Amino acid sequence: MAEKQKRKPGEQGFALVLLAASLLVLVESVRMFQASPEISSYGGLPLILSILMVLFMGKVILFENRRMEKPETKSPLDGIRYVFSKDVAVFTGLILLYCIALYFRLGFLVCTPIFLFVSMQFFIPRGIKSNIIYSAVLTAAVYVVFTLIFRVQLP
Amino acid sequence: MSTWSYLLIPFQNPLLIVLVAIGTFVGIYVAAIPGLTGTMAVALLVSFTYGWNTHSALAIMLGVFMGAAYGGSRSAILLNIPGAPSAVATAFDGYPLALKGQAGKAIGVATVQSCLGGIIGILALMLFTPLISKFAMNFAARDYLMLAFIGMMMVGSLGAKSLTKSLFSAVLGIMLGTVGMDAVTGAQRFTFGNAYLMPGISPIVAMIGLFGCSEALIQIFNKDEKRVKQDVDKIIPSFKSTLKYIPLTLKSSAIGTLVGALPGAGGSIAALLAYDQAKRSTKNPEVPFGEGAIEGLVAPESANNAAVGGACIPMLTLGIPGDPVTAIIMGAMFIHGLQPGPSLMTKTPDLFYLIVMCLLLSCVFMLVFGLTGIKIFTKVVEISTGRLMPIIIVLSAVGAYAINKNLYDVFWMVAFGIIGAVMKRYDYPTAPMVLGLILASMIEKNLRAVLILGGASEEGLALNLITGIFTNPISLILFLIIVFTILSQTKWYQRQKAAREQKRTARKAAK
Repeated sequence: MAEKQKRKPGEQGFALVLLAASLLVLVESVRMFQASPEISSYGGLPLILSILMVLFMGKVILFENRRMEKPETKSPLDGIRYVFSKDVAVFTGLILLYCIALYFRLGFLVCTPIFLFVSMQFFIPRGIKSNIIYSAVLTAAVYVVFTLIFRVQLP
Repeated sequence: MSTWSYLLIPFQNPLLIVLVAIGTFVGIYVAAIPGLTGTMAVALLVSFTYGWNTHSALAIMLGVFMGAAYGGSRSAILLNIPGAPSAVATAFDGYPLALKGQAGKAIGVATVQSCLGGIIGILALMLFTPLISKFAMNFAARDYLMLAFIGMMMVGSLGAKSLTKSLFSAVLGIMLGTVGMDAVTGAQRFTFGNAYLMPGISPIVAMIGLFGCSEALIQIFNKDEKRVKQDVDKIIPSFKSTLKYIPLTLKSSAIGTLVGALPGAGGSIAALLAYDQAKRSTKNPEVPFGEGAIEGLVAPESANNAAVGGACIPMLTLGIPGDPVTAIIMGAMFIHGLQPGPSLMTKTPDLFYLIVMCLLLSCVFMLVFGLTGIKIFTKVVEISTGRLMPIIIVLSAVGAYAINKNLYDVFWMVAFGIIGAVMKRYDYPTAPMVLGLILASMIEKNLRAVLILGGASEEGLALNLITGIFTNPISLILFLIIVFTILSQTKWYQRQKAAREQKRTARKAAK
């Protein structure tokens, strides 16, 4: 007999989140459809799509995921840890800080080398000197290539 | 103007040739680095080349497209880590060859075969695009709707672990494509009063997030992977040995072109199918497959590059992308005010032949860069993931900002990146989502046309649709393809297929 496929930690939880999101989209689609109840109206396609989204997620939750072997998880947090391991969570946090810094107009030439250095230092803690060099050289390269060659405005 | 004069356009502007060369070089090296893909590079390029003229933007993107289809083979051979999904099959025999001290030979064969496969794919593109374009002029709205549906189904059924998850991803993509002001009525959809969402979600921002940022996050899980390099000796293969494999090259390139032309398929599936075909049809290989058979390199490498030309056929003739990269290039064409589809050949034939010539030039540059620069390559692949991923994020942020000079786009890009990373972790493919997002307006336009032409009542609509499908041969063929694609996913079909396979194996064993 074929071995049962093992479900990943948090897989069913993620599917439930997608189902909830699909249901919210369905509610909004029904509201749009009620305002103009024709399938060719602006609410027609969203209604069809949201029904499909709910059906597909229903199938994933009730048939596909349930058929798989349950994962050996101790707490619901294991699912979050599976997706956002410590490295991913820290790096995502750094990305968000970088975006916020750019949003507050701290300047590309200030934010970028700091983001690059801190990220590299987090992943490769033993290479301070080379991380500094990489950060400086890469920032300069991006600045030169994108402002001079691509003529792109930097954030 | 004649076909020849159109083909010579790049030679009238040397900058275009330089851009193709740069694109090919970048494509090879980006795809060679495990974790970076050609799709990611092209997605970023769309925003960087936004302000360029169309010819220059297409030249560099097509160079990257062709170069990336080949680039993944180098890391597959030297590190046993396919740099791109299309190089998975290359590692089966490429790495064993490298372990035997023949890495140079393997790289040489892969380069030459990629070049030959690429050229064959482009010839098919040149030959079939005008014919299909003329044919596609007769397509009705329902046919386009069915074609888009086939594209979604193909993306779902080929290569993904779960068809339902793929279809969900595709439908989610179309749904995201409906966000914003409706083009016909001006009504707002899913904007929740937010002015940023009124023009709709930028497909480019979504693409950069889903292919760039999310890939950077996913690669963190592989950051400690050890890369064991092999020594490289003589690279250039002899003319005699290349000639020996020409029948296999032709067969694999034909498979590659055909698979590439299927909406939603692409180089990775083409390479695996060609490898499988070569394994079945090669009677007495000098070395068994999986242990360093040259045939095991010839087949996937010619097929994945032939798929490039093949993938351009549905994009240029029907406005349906053949793979994720052509989906992005199609998005770029929309941005530049072009309408890929059957009218492209009649309205802008210069553009079609420019695409053909750029791809051909890219094959030549691929040969040059592929047979040289091994020392640079070994340095490039040594860059660790920990240093590479932050720079991908910076490039993604610059790319997302470059289109509208709006910092909100950067946040949206990150949001798509995080969603994409979670989806990938749980085997929800993101390529169908991008395909859906790009095809959303086309799907809605044709759905409305079908509904309005079909009549006011539901009965009239259904009757018109059924009559239309069964009285028009094009519609009937497309409808049958849909029926077959759905049937091929059923358990009954899978059981029948397995039984057939079993019988075939038993027959072979008896012989």
